[in-house]
Amino acid sequence: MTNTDRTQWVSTVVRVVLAGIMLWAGLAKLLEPGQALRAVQAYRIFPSWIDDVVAIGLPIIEISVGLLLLLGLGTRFAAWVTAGLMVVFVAGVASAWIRGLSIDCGCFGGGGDVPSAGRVGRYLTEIGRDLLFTALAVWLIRFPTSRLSLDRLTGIAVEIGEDDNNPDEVDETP
Amino acid sequence: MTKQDARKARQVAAQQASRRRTRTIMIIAVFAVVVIAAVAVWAAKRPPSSNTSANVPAGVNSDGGVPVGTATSPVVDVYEDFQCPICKGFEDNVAPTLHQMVNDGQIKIVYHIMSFLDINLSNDSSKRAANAAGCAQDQGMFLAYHDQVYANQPTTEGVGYTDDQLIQFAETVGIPDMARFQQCVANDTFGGWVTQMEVSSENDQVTGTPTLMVNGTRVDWSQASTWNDVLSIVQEAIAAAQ
Repeated sequence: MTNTDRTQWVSTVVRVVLAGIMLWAGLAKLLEPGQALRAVQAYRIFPSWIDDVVAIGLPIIEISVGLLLLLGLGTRFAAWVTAGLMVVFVAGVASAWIRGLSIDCGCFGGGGDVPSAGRVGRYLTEIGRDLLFTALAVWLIRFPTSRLSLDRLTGIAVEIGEDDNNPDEVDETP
Repeated sequence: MTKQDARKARQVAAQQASRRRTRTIMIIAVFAVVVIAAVAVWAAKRPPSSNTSANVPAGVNSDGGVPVGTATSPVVDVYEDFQCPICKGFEDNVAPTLHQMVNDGQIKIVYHIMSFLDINLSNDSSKRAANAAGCAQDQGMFLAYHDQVYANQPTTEGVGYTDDQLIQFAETVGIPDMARFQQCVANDTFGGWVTQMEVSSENDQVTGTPTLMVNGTRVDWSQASTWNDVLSIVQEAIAAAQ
């Protein structure tokens, strides 16, 4: 197995793990719309009509990106969206923390106001977890070409030079 | 560059553009499918015509809230969940004073019994206890029953209530028609009303329990460190509204 092979298989694993995380987060919100809305409201950041839009839009984006990652379709694009979401989530949790709120992030369903006991630990865990997910997304931005992906199957990844990790395949282009 | 080279480069470029276009279309298709699926899921989950058809206990407000007391103002809206430990703290330390004010005709309390903790705790005790409180309200004994449930809240959050316990509470407070109460608990008679109260509370922007509003204004006790502090803050808010 060459280094390139290995990197591509690592990217496949990262892709599937990140896909599972996004799908889980999105489905949990999709299946409990009332709870998702309460989770967004608890951040007390937006006027109520934007809360509605976020509660509806966020699960749709998360599930779509999760599917793209699972299929390996537009991997780098999906990874950018994921990383962007994570930055927003970290900012949201940090803002709740700074403003002295005690909320559950509602990352994987749930959410809303919660008892303030242990809130520092909870916020640190939530932020740490999101940073870890960001790291996975950054890996995919750097190495988007992966095995078992539609990007590779359709030859797109190769042709538009998205495979920084894969110089030998670029030569396939006549 | 020869003519052939140039033509070949153009072909390759065209092929690449076409593949990129295909991919963009596929990505958009994924989003479209998810949007359609999400709309279908939400449409299916919409509570069955929450307005007219739901059985509601006698004497509740149009939004499902349970009014307690004969005074007309100020109105103190209390949002609670029977499985919420802080609500028990509130009931033990603050509510007795409020109940006294109700008895003295100084305020009116409207209880909104929420049930979202079922999701966090992966059980259905909040909904069943809320329905049972509706069964008690239907026989004119909401407050006594409500207090009895909180008095017996399990010390470990998430243990919940069995149907037997919910019936036992009714016996303890002396619900007049126990046969009717048991049937009401067994049939989840006011399940639709429980959903209605959860939805209307969400519409009131209530994001956690307990939440208190005096004449529609949320009482902020986030800076309080003891229940005595909370009590004074609540009393001040009520005094300001009187």
